[in-house]
Amino acid sequence: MRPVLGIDLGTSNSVVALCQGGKVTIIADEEGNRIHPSAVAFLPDGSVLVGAKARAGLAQRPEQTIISAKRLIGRRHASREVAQTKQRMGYRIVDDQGGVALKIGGDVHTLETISALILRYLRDLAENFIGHSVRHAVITVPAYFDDNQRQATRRAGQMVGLEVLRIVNEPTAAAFSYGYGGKRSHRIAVFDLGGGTFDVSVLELGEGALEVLSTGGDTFLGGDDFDGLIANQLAQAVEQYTGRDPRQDSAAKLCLLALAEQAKCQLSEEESFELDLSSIAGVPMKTSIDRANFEAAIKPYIDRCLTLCQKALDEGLVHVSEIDGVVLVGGSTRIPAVRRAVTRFFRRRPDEGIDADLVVGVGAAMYAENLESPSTATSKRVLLDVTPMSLRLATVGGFCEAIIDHNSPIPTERSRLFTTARDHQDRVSLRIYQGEDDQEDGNTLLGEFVFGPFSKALRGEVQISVTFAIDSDGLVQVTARDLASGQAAVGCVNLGLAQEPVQQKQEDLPAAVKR
Amino acid sequence: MSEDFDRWRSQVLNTAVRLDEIDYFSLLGCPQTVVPADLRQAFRGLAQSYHPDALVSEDEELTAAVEAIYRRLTEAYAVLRQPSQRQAYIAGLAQGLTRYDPEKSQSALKDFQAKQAPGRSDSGRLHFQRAQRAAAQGDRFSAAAEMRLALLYEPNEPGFLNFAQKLGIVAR
Repeated sequence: MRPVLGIDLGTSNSVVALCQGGKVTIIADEEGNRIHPSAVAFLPDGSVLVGAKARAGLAQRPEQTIISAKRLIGRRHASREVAQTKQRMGYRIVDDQGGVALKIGGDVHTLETISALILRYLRDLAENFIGHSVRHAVITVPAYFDDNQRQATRRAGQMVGLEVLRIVNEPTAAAFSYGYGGKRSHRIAVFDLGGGTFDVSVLELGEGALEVLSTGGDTFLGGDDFDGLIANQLAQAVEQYTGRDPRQDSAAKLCLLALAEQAKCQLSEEESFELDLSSIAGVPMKTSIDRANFEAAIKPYIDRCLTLCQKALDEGLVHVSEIDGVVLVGGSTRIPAVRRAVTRFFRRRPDEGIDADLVVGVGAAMYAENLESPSTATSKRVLLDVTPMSLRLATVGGFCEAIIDHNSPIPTERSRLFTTARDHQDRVSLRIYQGEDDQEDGNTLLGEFVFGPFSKALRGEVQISVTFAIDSDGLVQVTARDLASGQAAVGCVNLGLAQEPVQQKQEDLPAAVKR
Repeated sequence: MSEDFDRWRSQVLNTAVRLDEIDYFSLLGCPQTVVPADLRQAFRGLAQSYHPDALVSEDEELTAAVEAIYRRLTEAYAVLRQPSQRQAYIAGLAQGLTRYDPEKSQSALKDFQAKQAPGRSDSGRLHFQRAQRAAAQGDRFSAAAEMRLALLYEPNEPGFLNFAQKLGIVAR
């Protein structure tokens, strides 16, 4: 059987794993690390570092080191998320025909390029481990990734010659890694609080099938927000002490974030943590943060997570007492306050099995093997996933109508019949959105689909049948057909963002160096 | 084994071609009154054979057919598990709509409900429905007035008389 990698392409860290004969191997780098920072550094001599080595140089090269690129992939430059990310990153984020690109020195890199460099690094690690080339992968994304973000992730894989067999939602992959199932069916909740995003899914694991009952989340809620809170507190302390706001300087800003992250991690183990801020303040300065203080600061974020959990349970028609297990995913679930809140909410202790940082990668690898196993295999499981967001179509006056409701099982499709509004109208244009708002503005625009020109006629005479489909990867496709002539057109709808031919980009990919 | 497979394959291809003629209940093998738990069981059972993950095959024609069937299965499942959509779908099905269409199916349901209402004349039904609405809002005065108008059109309609009795405007 051909090897298929399971890749957890995370916001902060990535994991690559391979499952053969039911046995999962998590692939390590030369130093033996199994968790690879999702960092890429562009050095002045034109070479590129990826992974732990890139992350290690962040403080020295804040403007050339890309971290948390996943927060930006597939986003519009004008979005709130991009504005927020700009504030806390040392590198330059620029507009690229409505989308986002990164400007490092004189070069402009797309977010796909950054993801592609990380994927290539992970693939190379795997190839070194296996001893021959690998061409196929299953890549995980947050359940709340929209079509633009999924397309961009898939393109990143293509750029390094990886055929992405399936894009799987992270919580679903995490559930896959757990040994539930068997004769009795289990209902489990996956609580995934990572660096950048929060996802919650309610799943039922039965014989031969894993069904996602509902899913919810927030694409901009995670450990990075906690770091930001601590960093702001520290900056204020420095400002009070020295009269100068250290956030003016991008290097100091990043240094604060790094200290904040360190403090956050330590506070999971200890009651208080002492920091030396001398290098940032420019004068000798020490301060400390205690756990109670930190927990009070992040409480609104935890409450938001629990609200989203309740919503997911309600939508899956599951009562909290029917949950048989809770799986924690993501580094932020190590925070004791988060664990306590989850335990109280679900009225049970979370399952301790696989490391929360590895569980998605392990699940992705297991799913990859499951996907490749023959239909007749007894262990074969099908994955009945749902779409986390409603697919919408703009109507009139700024409104839009749901064509496929959120939490609908995928792959699926719906057809609608449209007609012309004017005499001799020879094309129709459909604006497609994802989101839960009845107003266009409250949703993410996926793109505009234009069909035509078709044969002219009086208004109302032309009948256009339009099919909206979401495939197993969560990707959206629109097909239109003129019922009179049979003329048809198919389109993916991510026309909203600039796209360059993948082939050309592959050659442009800068060479990574090993040191 | 291979004979069985060939028979299955031709059945699948045939089903995929005729998909628009098959209603959701036949597709899922459920009665119109199916309860949510049985509906899920039926969907899950079929998913084991028709989910894109289930079939590992180089046969592109078969893969495409299986995927088309699965997309329709998920559509059927999503519609039937929502009571309001299921009702509208059943009404639309009586008019030959094998797929749920938000506009047409809902308007079929309205037509059906209107026909279920007592009365044979449009005017009688109109006033009867207004009387019901007014009564539901607690406006007994308007309800009585509308009901008297309805009875002008159809004085012997049993449904009208029954409701008029409840309002206390005709003797029992």
